[in-house]
Amino acid sequence: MWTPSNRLTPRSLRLAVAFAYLALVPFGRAQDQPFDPGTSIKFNLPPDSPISIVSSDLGESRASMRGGALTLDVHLDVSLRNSAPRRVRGVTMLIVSQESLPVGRASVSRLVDVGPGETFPFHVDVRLLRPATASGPWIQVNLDGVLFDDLNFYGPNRLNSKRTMTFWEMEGRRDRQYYQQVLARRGPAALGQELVAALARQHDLERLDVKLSRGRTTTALANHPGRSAQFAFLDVPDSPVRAVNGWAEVSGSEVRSPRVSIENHSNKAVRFVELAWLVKDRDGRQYLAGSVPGSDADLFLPSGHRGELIQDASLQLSRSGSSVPLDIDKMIGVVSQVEFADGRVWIPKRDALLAANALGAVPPSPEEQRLEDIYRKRGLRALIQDLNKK
Amino acid sequence: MLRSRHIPAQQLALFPSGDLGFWSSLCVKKHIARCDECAIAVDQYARLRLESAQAREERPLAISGASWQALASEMTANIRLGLSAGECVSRAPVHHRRPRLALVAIAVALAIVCTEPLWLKTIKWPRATSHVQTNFPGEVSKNSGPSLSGPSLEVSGSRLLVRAPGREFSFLPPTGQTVSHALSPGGVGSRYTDDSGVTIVNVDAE
Repeated sequence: MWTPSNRLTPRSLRLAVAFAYLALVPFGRAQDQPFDPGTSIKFNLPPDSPISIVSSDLGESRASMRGGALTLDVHLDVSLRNSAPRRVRGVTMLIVSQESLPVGRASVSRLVDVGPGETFPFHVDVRLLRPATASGPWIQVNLDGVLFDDLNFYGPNRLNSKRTMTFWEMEGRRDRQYYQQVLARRGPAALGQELVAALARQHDLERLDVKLSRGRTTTALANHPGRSAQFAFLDVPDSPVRAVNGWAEVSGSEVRSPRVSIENHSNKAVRFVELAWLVKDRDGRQYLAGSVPGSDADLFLPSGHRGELIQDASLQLSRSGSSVPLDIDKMIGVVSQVEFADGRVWIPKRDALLAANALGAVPPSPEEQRLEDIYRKRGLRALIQDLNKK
Repeated sequence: MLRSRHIPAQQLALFPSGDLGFWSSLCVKKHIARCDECAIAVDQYARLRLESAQAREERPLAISGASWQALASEMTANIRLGLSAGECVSRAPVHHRRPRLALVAIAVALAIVCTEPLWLKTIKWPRATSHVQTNFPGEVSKNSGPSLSGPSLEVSGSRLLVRAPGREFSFLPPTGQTVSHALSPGGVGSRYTDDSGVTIVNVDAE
């Protein structure tokens, strides 16, 4: 017998929820929209660019509205061609979501070795959130620079990609040459041992999750002012710049405003210095924290002069995948990159890093990382094949 | 989980005599076709009815009013007793109540589904426009928009994220790629290798 009632029985509630879901699914799907290749993305390549776009595919890129913001999931596959008569060793693109406002800009660099007329892939996988009212294309892809094998550079260089790619290329040549020498002098077995040692160094050096806030202190430091902790430095032979002293305010796992005094021992003016940065916890474990860079625009250190590297930021460090807070005990710095005023660069030699016990204190170069990946995924034979290429 | 419903005992009792309405009778008929318990009950009621009819035929022609009253009372009591006993051993009938609120929810959901083509057209999407003012090829014009409070960078696992009020930028490496991160001048960098080279993403926080 049916009797009217205001009570919701479980069966009728399930039925109502099922209908509501069916009603909302198309609504939810309506909030997603694929990218329109004609208007969503704009490529800005100069007419005389040494690289050209062969094809581009937005693939599974989606845009979705959430509240008053537009979320863009960009999965861009571009095929680029080297239109220059020289080999290309690196390309950097600037990805912009809305003109030049902060937080909405990234650079994607691709380190390759392509000859004239050859093509190479370029992937971009980023997610952007921007106000829905912003005008213009959702994504702009601008060429920032192209590095050739003779270390010549083309491009506006707004992101200092010339310096960055030149450092990577120099480090890559250093490490590749080292492994080629090991293969030539000591044979495949020794090469395998070196790669195993390199992988072990990376494994021993634990990674950190980092939260960096510029120009402000995090809550912990505001509530619990920390102690002033000094840097220890590993002196690399033949380094044109020497770190004299350095300190930062440390409280538990937070570091604020690291400052390092440096001295230019070379006979040329220096305009950029980078210091690789390790932290040690109270248990003696080492972690690669990153680098302390000199200010891009302001640093100019004449020969024989002293200057300061300052990072006006607060960093909160934690072990990757662990809820145990990091208790920073010591900080170690190594001068890893120097650029002179005339554009030349210096990187430490591998022997010098070994002598200073600093091989594990600097991040591996992209080339070394690529070689390690080949060894790990495809084995020693594939690695030897790659090293034997010119 | 499906629960079997049983016809109330009153309806089962009235079914053999044909005293149920058309639809009720149809429901009972369909039910006893698949429910042995109710079919047995109907059979018992039918037998009881038959015995009562036989007893009625066999009763003395002349029954005084008082005697008949006594007999009627006894029969009524027996019937009520039988019905009560039947309710004790049979399952409680499930009373299906038609909730008003659930009906309203279902009706609203149906209305949304049926009118979807109409209201979907009214959603205004932010249009991506192709015009952008440039100073020279590759350069984008500076925009004197509202200044934002300092953004924060986060590196966590294989994810790299830059956040500011109302804005967010994150890097999602391809699935299965080993990614390494490092603080870099002006921001945070992530890199991964694949068969054809190394990709390095730097997210700017300035």
